[in-house]
Amino acid sequence: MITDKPNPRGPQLAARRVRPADARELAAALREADEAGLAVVPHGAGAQQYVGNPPSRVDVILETRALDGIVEHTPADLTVTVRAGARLADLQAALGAAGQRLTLDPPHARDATIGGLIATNASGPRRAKYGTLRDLVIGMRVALVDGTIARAGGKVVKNVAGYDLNKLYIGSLGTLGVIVEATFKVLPLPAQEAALAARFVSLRRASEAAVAIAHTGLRPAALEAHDLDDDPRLVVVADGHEPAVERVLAETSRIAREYGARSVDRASDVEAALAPSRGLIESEALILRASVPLAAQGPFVDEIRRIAHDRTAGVALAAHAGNGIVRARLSGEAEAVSRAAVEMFALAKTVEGDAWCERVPDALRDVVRDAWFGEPPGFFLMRRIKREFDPRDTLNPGRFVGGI
Amino acid sequence: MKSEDLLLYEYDGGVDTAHPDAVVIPHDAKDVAKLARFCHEHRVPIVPRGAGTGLSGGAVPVEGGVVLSFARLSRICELDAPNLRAVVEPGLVNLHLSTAASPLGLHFVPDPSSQKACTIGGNIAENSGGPHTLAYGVTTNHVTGIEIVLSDGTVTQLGGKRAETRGYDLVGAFVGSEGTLGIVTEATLVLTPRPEVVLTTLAAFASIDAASETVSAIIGAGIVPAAIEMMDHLAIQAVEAAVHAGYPLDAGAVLLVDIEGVRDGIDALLERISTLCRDNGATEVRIARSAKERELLWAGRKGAFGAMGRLAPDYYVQDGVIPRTKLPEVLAAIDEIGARHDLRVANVFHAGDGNLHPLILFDASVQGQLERVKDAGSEILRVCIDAGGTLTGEHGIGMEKNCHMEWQFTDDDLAAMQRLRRAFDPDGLANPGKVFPTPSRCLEFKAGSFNKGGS
Repeated sequence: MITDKPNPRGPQLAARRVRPADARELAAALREADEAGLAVVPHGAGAQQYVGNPPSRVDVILETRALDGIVEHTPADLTVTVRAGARLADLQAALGAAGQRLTLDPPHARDATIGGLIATNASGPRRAKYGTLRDLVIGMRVALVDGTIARAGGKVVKNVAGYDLNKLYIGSLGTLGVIVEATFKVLPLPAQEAALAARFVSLRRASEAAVAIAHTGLRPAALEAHDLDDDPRLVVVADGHEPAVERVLAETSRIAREYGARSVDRASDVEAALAPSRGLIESEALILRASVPLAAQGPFVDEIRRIAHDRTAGVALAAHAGNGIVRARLSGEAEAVSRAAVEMFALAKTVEGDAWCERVPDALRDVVRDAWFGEPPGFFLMRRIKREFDPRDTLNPGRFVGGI
Repeated sequence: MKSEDLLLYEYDGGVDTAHPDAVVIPHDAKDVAKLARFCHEHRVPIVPRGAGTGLSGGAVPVEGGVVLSFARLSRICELDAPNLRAVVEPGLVNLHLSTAASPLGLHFVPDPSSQKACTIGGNIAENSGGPHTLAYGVTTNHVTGIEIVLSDGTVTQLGGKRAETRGYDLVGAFVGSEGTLGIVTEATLVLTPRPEVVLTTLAAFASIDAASETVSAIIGAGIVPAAIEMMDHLAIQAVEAAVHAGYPLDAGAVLLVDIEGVRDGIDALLERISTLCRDNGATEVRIARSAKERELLWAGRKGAFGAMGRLAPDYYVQDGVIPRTKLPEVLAAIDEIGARHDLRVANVFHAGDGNLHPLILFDASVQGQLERVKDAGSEILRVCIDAGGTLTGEHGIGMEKNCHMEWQFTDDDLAAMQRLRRAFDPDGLANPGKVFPTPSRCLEFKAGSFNKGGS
């Protein structure tokens, strides 16, 4: 059980681990904890426990791993229902056997569970064409602190009956309920997928080429710009039938050259070409995530560099460049990194963007006190929603924005 | 406004009516906030209304109060092509946005059949769809920001032109809330580059079953078209009489299939679709290549509801969604329900995503017909739910289907939704009597259906 002993390695070690066998047991455990005034941290594979602020209290770690497996997959309906503790990799393998896939390719794809990915609104390069979880999830079952299991959405691809609570739960970091099951839209595997990598003199130019491509009807599957070690690149992935793939790569190659690409090469392995930018978040460092309007992205990455330089922090950058999502991995003295991150947040705000720390290494927690940089617009509504769903602050207390 | 003028605001495109106590037509968002504060102070319901084309009574003031018309808030504030966004007022007509964005090579994807009249505010309230949502999603997938006025008059901006914002996805939670969480006064929408080529295939079949099997075959072959629409024999008769789109009159069903993308390889794809149609018994396959030919084929589909006037003075349309593999059995059940109630039912629907639109034909001037029609409609929805589907794919619950919500959701499910409602509208003044079952109307409703010996 719970002890009052101070634990030098953080509160998580003192907490009780609970691994319910099914959704009903999980909901009961959640209610029990809530009634006892205990704080609960939902836990899938633990792949992304770094997201947000450390919870202010941890009494029970509620593990979802036993909620494993596919509930229902009807290939002809292009839908799949899966339990929250299932790993994405296992789901993809099962779908792949039926010639289908979930068009979600986030970091930690090998380990992360469905529940954890939804709670963190994880996304990957192919969001350029297929969107994010808010576009892919059509239904969910969520255990609430009163022990009920509430369904949102359904199992059909189009559904406007009742509120779309799926949207509320996606990215809510386990602060409103514990996801126990989700239903997704899936798609047939593409006939072909191919990639090219273009090298640029600056990330700004690579990013601007990506924005130009996003303005065409070419619809590439991914547009990833990155600059990890002074070698700025744009990676373009195209999918579909062979003639279309060839055409999209030929056109994007032409646009890349127009924007000053020094070389454009066909990548021999699509996943290998995407790996560097995905690897950025998987390393233990401060990762700032910014979302800016598309046209602001080019100048923004330049300014980010300038800020890092001024603050004598090291920076590596990767962008979902068709969507205006920029990640900066900062390194250096704690104080320099922290100040650079705050300035980058302020910069994002000036261009109608937003930013937060997607990852804060333990070593920097004392300096970077709030991964969220304060309260976002509309916070008063978020606070009210939290009170309605979790009045006793049982779920992941203090982990989310504004101390939620 | 004279009291008879208020009659215009008693109804929308559905069959339910209620009398407003007042109608207000504000000039700007400040007026809206002022009105909301006034209504809040006097505990008066506030019901937003766009073009009144809704089909579930969303804009009907079932509990009285003030109807807030967006007739004067219909501007495009900003066409921001570099950011692929538009900032618009809620009274803007859906099609006007795509028309304005067209010279820039962009469009707003959600295209409800009523797009020549329906407004963006209504689209956001209902989370409207349209034929092209199969590949691109519904309204919610194309809204990144909203300015809202809460029922107490508080104004707040949620989201913006960027893709992601810190905190809960309040924009996503708000879209589709049917005016029950607050009032949208401005929206930031996604503009999408137009594809290089769009080709439309018309395929005629002897039966609905053959057409349904073709839909499964196309998707089973790994092809996800931009749209797959189906019309049955009765609908074809009406559409041909009204629009002369060139559909074969002797067909049992027709499919309209849109594919789009880059030019390269699209002919081969088209050929595969034609082959799949023929393999599944298509009696005719026609391909529209020019914009003009395409428009004509689509005019038939988009004008289908209006064309029902050729068959009967009135129609009542349902909007249930089913898993597409259940199409043949559910359509057979709908046929049986129509026959049992001695009502003709035409079917026009989004076959690709299983979103049915059975149009029950009737004459409202015949005593008792509307009641029979509503009973048949309810039975059809029951069939959809039993097939694993939903009450509505794009028209909303409104005051039309709120008493059926318990068929689809448990008390616990609805209680979770009510938590969101309380966070936004604790006093219940934002479009009350919609979405959730209300004790007064739904008890009456239940008693009514028991009396008729319904199941």
